[in-house]
Amino acid sequence: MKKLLFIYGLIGLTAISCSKVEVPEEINEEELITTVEVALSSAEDNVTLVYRDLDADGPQAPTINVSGPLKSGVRYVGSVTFLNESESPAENITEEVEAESDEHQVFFVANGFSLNLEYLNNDGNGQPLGTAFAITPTQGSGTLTVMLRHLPTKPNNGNPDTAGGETDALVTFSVNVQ
Amino acid sequence: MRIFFFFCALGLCLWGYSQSTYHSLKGRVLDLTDQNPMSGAAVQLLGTDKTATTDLEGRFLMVDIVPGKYRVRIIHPFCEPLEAVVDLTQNLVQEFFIEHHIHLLDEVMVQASVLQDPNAGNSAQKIQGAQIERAQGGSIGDLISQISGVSSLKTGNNVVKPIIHGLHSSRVAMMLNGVRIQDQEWGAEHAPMVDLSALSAVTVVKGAQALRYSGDALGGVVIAQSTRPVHQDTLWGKVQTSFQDNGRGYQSSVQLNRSRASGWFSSMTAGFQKQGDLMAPDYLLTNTAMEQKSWSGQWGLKQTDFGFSAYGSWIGSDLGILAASHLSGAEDQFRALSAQQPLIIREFDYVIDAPRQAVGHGLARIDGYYRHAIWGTISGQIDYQFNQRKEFDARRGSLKGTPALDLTLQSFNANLHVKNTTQKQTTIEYGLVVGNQSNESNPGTGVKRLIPDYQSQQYAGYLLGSQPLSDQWIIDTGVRIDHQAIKGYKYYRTGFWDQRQYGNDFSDWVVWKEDQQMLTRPQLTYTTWSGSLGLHRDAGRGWEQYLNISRASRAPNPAELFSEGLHHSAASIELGDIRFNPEIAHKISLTWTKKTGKTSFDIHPYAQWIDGFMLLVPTGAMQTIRGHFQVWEYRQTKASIWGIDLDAGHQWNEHWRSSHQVSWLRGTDTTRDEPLMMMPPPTINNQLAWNKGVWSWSLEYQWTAEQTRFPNYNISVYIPTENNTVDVDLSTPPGAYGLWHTRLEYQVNKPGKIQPKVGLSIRNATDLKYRNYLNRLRYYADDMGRSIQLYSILKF
Repeated sequence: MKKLLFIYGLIGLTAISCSKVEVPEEINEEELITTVEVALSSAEDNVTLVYRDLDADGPQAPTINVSGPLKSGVRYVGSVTFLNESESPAENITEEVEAESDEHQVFFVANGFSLNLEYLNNDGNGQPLGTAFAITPTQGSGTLTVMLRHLPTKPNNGNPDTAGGETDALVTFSVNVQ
Repeated sequence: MRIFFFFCALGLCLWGYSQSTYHSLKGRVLDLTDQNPMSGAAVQLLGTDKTATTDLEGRFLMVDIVPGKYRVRIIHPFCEPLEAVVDLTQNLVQEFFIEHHIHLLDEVMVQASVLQDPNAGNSAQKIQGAQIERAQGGSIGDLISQISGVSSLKTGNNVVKPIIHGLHSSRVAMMLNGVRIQDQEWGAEHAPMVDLSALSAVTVVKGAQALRYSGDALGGVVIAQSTRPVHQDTLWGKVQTSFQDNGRGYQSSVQLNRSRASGWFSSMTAGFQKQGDLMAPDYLLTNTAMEQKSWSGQWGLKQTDFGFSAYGSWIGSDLGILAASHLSGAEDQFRALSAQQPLIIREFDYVIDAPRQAVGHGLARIDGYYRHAIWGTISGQIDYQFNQRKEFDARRGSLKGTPALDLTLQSFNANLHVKNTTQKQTTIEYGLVVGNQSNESNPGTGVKRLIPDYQSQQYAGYLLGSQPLSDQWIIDTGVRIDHQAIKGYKYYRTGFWDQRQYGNDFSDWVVWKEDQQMLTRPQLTYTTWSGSLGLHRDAGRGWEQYLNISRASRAPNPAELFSEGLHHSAASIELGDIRFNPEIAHKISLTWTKKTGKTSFDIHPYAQWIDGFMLLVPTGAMQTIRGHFQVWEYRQTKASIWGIDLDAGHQWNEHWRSSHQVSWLRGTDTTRDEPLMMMPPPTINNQLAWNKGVWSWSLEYQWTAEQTRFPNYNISVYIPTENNTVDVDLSTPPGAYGLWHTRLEYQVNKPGKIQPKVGLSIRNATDLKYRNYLNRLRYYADDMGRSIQLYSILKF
């Protein structure tokens, strides 16, 4: 009986004394997107739209910058860049998106003006990808929303509401088209 | 077979009324193998109209019998009928032994569950034998939701966890063969892993009274047990297989038990289960496939005064989660809610893609007992538990195939328990528990830890006593003290730490602090006590009443303390609070039951008041680069939950029986005077069963009301394509629904031979389209449609 108690006691103590917590490795969110940059250029001017949220899901508010107004009726050739700036050097997520082009699509939605959107790059199956695009906006002022969708239904009709998939980025800029 | 059915006359006694014209027969029906009383056995005196039913102690009494020789027939639901001759020349007291060797697997109601519980003042409900066999291929959550007052919290059909009286997760203690299962304690999508094919009985104690097992189970305790050994030279077992049309699933398990008259025993089980995409009435539920493998083994010695056993088990599952539920923020949720059907529907397959969970649960236990003449029965146990949980999301690039959550939770426990019963039937039980738990998150996930790495130590001591006050009344009391110390390392977002002003109270935790991230070393200790007082009245003839008053206290768990960030699988941001105090609950419950006779019933009203109730509620939306996420914050509040469970059954005649259940409860956040979220809606269950010889058939109608009491936690977000701010309705419960289930079963009952049982079961027979409020995926898809299952069980 005493032996039994002793064995239990011993094992119990061993279990307790073995407990040491080591400092766990710091984790940097790897697939995090902190920054969406939209660069628009035409023969007349260049406009950049930047959305940056370095603490991601944390409480700090994002910073949103639009460098200037767009001109109506002018064709802008654009590119979208997705960055993870919480790492140093910043990771360019656009490269991964382009490498897995069949699983991604960038959608653009304008309110207050018309975009007249053209997709300038496609995935391997000839379906639009959208990291390169062109717009010819009409006059008005409103918002431009840029969405990166992971695993959308492809092909789709360009409407993000019915395209399915998971939203990896969704940023809205206030835009003025003169 | 007569060899098995012997009876022996013990304690023949003469009361000296030989001149009396009538005699009485007082008897006791016992189990041949282990001499336990057999309750609920029907006793007939053939050739007369005398009948009786044995009580919990196996006793029965017949009076006013004309002297003579009679044949007594004893019928027990799980046994071959026994016939014996009695010579009533005087009042007779006799014991009858009945054999139920072949039904050992069913673990017959050897003792009423009440008596097996640490406190006799508990009312407990038990599921066993055939009911467990019929649930093969399902989960333990589904199995015990057959009990009134118990419901299931689901994430689809593969992830099911029990809710008892409106409470779940760390408020429900799941005991598997004496070990508390740790893998279901945190999130709503962490289901307990229990292999049903290895179980012989599951007991549910609604409330925190089972203090031997825990003091923090505000909801209740689920006690699952494997088959128990017997003192006989025997080899027995069973093979089960089943096929299901919905999901094209199949399942198979084997169980073997060997025991010797010397007390040595061993047993093993192995099981396998696979299922493809399930089907709702109108569409396939893409990516709801699952696969599970399990085994367990036990070996030991069981003697009257001494025994020990070693037990090990493993269960591994790969569970697919509905593809259309994999979403980002509120904008995605709005899209999914607006869609008539899931946004992702693919062809049927058995492929388990992301999002999915790969979970493993291993258990090793050594236990022993020794019966000491003075001290009583001393038993001890050491157990080790390994839980691994990997959750996979749809990811890109090099992270494809890397889980987004990868937790390893290991627990070590040792306990010592002493039980002493004096000659006056006073029972004293006391014990000590020492435990250690560690949690590690694999940093390779590339996703911030939702639960930090920690170590915790638990110490607990309890003292329980029960004492008969009279022939009818038993009182029992118990008290338990728990002490817990948590140490760990936690990375905080600096912004969150500052916003909560944790620096004011916890500055000594800080290891380093930078602009975005900081490392802290939390150290928290909690000491809580719980207690219970129960009164049990056995009024005879099957009538019993219970009154129970209990206090339970639960220390905050790591999820409630440390959560901070995006919970990927819930598509929400969850925030805990390290300032939480333990929650304390007081509960009072009454039970009136009548367990024997043609009509049986159980009425169980209860009320519970909880101070410092930790609940996770939406507090708003946070704008992130992926859109708006609903923010859920844990907060402490005062709450009350009260309700009633009703069970009734009636044996209409030899062949027909009906049973009825009602569960109804109300949960309120009394601080804010608003309903608690996700409280089970009222349910009514009616079942009609018929059986004749080898055939049995049943029809069941399960009605679930619409939950009309719910808080409004909808959020408003701007939807660019609508150019409008819309209300994302995440609160409104779905409507009421009624499901029909039916079952036909053929069973041969020939002791000593192979006993086949074949059954056909149809669930949701009308293929009703419905959504269940307690299913977290109800926003995205309808529940499962009709499902036809064919099963067979061979016992030998």
